[in-house]
Amino acid sequence: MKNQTNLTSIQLMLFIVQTQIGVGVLGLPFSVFSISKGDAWISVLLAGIVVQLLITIFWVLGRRFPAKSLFQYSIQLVGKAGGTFINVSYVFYGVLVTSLILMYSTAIIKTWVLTLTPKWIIMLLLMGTAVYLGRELLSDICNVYVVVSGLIFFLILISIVVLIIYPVDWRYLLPIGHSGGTKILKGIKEAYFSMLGFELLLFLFPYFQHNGKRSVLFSASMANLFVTLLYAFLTIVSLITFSPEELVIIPQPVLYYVKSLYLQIVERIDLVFVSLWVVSVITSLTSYLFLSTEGVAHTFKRIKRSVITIFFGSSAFIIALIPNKEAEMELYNKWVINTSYLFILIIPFLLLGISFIFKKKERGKNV
Amino acid sequence: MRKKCIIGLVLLIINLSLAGCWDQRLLKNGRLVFSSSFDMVDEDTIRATAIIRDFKDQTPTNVVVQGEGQTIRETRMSMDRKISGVFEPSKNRVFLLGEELAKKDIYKFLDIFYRDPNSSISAKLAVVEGNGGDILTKLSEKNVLISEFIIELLTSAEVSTGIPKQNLQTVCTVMFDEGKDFALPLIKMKDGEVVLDGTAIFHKNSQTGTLSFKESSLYLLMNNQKAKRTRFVSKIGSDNKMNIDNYITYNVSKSKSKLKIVSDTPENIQVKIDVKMDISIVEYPKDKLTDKSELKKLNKKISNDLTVDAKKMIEKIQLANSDLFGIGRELIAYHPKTWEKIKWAETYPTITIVPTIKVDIVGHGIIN
Repeated sequence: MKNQTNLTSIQLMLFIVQTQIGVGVLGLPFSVFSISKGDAWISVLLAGIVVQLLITIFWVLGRRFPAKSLFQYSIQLVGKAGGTFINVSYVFYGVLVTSLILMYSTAIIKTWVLTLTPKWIIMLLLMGTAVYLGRELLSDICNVYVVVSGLIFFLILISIVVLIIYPVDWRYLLPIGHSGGTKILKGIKEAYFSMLGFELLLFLFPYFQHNGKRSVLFSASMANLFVTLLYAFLTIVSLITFSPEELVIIPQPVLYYVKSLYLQIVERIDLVFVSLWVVSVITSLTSYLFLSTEGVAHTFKRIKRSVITIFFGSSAFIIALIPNKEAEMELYNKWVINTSYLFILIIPFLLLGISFIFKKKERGKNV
Repeated sequence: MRKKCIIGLVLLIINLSLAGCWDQRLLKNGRLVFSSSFDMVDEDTIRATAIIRDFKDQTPTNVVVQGEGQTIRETRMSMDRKISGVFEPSKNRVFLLGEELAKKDIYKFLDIFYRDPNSSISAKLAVVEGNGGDILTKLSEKNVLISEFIIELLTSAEVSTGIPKQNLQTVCTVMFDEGKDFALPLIKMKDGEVVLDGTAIFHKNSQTGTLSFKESSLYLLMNNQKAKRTRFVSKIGSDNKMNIDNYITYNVSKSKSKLKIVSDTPENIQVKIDVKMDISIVEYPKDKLTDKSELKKLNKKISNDLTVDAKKMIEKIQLANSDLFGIGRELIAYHPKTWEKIKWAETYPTITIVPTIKVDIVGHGIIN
């Protein structure tokens, strides 16, 4: 962990933003809409509040062990056997999410852009880039994330152009609250998948704690605020460009409204959009690979970092190749999302509880 | 040194693999389609006519191909067999729909374009009185740039508020909207010439009526869709010796329309559409446009004339059951309780829509 003290809070913020924005961004309005209809944007905002609560809890937990990541204090809290088990499961979780992202992004690229290209080539190209970046140290990854964050603004810009050029109808949002409270609450669950990525805070905390504990919470919250507002914006744009019945049949509304733009010179702006979006997908892949690599690198200090990343990258690649049909992918998706509750809700809560009850904590001074 | 050699070798090998791509579509293999039309031959068979751009001695020429089939994709396959090279419709800028086909559910025929990522959904759409194929073949005899001609015909009418700005995608949005209907430009053959003849209006996804050019401009103004230019001619008298003295021609420089639901009881829905516009006179042989009382009279006469026209137009669209103003959407958004109680397709023709148009003369050119 040499020379990693120059990490700034902005880097933490962009790390979380880049992890959260990924494959889900294109389909988020559709999946939330299919549950909470015209009030999908409310669900997205509420999901942001839920995520904010979780971030605060992670921060409270991380603050008690400022110099350590979850991989280290888990052993301290629940003993060697239990801690190792938790660590191994987080490593697996990282691999599972990596292959989930890989699967879905490849499916989208294949249906929208490269229809004839074999699946494994696209996956290999995505994975290759992610592994190449993921084997580096955190500071290097962060630097790349900061540079590519500029691309997100292009995504926003293109959506604003749609708002101006396309004959949108704001009345599609009305009447507000028509779908009812339960449906809006259920919609939160759909938005949650696209928000995944903030749990990386559990592992990033020690790298950024030198900026001050409060600044860690602040950057994580800013990241969450940015992503929530961005998602709500994209959802609203999708809701007002497509009529409700139409949105039901468009699984990637964000891409579809970009496709319907016609600027004299460029015929298919959706291709430009996909190329920008692929960068966000790769950063998400990288972050989860980094999570898995961290978990192992802590335990087995002798193994080279790149070897670990390549190993996890190829296992995620192989898992992603298994499902063939959309139904199988959905099954896998459902399964991963359900297990994610374990890693995002149950384990951190458990650890926090134990830490409170047994008054186990450390001060930041003895780094 | 050795390391460098290895890297160089690897790069060279990678270079070889870069030349191939599964998804390349080379221009030299494709036959670009620029406009196409779809007609019904009989109850079940569709005939597609496509104009393919070719180059002979560096001047563009057109080739007409036709294909028949049960589905649009089948017509494409049949056309593909008739031409050399690959049938490449992704640059298609204009689609013409034959009358018979437009009277059926047009979404069924357009589905292929929404489904295929390569199709250009910003292409223009128009309905043809009679057969679309006839228009394309007629135009190709004259050997003009057919698609450019049709597109310019449509865009110039869009600029002068004659037809609504629609493309494949915007139409799709309205097709799926239960509280809104749409209108498409209507093209027809007249004395061997291709002319734009107002708009075809739709109920759900099928054509149920037509509007003349003037009526569609009026509709666009009332729907707040004024484009750059709007020009009307009104009759303001009948007792003048010269017939031309009975008429006045004016530009609409500013127009604002307000749609208001006055009563939302399910049995008696009343809608008011108030339009206020500023106009400037462009032709009025009787002159003397500085007289205040004369102006007032003119304002009133023109307002009356337009209101009468608007009433006729609304009668027409209600008869066609075409909710062009999106009153249904207005009800969904602001009166959801009423909406739940009614069957819109049955209620819409019976509701009361009252238009009022008020004009104000603000300009008269460089003479009085």
